[in-house]
Amino acid sequence: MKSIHNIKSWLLVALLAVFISACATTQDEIPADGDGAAVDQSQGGSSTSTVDGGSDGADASGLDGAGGGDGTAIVDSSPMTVMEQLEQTEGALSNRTIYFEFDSAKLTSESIDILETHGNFVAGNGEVSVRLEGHADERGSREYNIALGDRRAQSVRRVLLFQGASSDQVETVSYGEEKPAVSGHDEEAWGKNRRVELIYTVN
Amino acid sequence: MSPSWSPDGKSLAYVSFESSRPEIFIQQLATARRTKVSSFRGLNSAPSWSPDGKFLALVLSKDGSPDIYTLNTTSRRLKRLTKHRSIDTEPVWSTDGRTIIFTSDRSGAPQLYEVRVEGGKPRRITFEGRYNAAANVSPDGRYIAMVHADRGRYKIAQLDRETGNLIVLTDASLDESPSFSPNGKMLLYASTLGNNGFLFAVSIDGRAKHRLSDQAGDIREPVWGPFKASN
Repeated sequence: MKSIHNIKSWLLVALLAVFISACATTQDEIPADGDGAAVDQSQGGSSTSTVDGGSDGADASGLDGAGGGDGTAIVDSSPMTVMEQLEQTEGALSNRTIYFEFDSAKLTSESIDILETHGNFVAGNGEVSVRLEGHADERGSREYNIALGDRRAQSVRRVLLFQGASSDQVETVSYGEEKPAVSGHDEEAWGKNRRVELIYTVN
Repeated sequence: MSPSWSPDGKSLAYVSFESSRPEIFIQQLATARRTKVSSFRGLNSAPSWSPDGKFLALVLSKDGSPDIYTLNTTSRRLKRLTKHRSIDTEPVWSTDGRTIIFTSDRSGAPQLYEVRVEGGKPRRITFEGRYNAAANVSPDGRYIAMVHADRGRYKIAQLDRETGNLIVLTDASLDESPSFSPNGKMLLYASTLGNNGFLFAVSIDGRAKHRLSDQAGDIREPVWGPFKASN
């Protein structure tokens, strides 16, 4: 028993370390920093799922994992936690900004693919809620831009609800042109500012 | 954001995001006492006082897309004036208080419309250009100032309701938030120069233009106070 406790506490320390490092990296922009962070994540993924197997006694697959002790079996039988999925730096779920054309709230087919993954994730995890923050570029009237940001957030919301997310898991807010992602007054800056950001909370 | 003076100059209505979502407040300037008057799901935006000071026009999206409502500030009764899946926003009152002018993209791009305060079918009032928004009515009711886009440049223009002529008054590319002076002879607006927002005034014939603010800070959303100079 004692040795198991020791292993558990070591694993907890490891989990904590992985969690802290993941917190430090997840806010980074996706393409540039993807490589290094991805390595961290894959190592973190296997060690944390082992901890889950040992500590989460109520979970049937977790018990299997603890008993087996076989590395590959553990990874297969014990799915990533909600936090771990959110901390991944690759894949559709790590893509949390959806961009739009000028004066438009239309989603591209690529955006819809990304949002379907988000929708399935929210639908499958009742403890998760997501805030959709709509934005516009600076051109034109501020009030119209507030409404445009709202319309963009609503188009994203519709996809999430269609995938089965519940309406009380999905909140929308529009900041219009008031909170640009980048400063600058040209097409490049405007393109980056016409967006909806998905902000997750795990309750 | 979106400050609107009450006609007697004693209160401001505005939108605050302090609770991380938009809510409309009315604040008395003398006492600083403030009241939350609108906090529905979705948008609560663009409050505008009626000329008699009894109503606020505002924008809510609680029933779907953004629509224009009026709120009796005493009884708190809400009345919905537009019902369209388009964006309807930034309502302003006509000088006589009988109609409300607002921006809608129901035609496919933002244009100005007018609706009677008792409701009914809105009538389109701007037809030049693909972007006319942010209306502001002159004190005599004859002119409507607006943001007017012309080949991707956002300028201040005004519509003469007697002749139907639209005159473009400015020549920058990111002008917004026009607001008539109480004597109706000048228009205040915000413009971007380099990386900063500045306050400008232009005479209503477009001939005289002044920059009113210096470098300090980034200026947005000017509104002219309701008091006339007593000269």
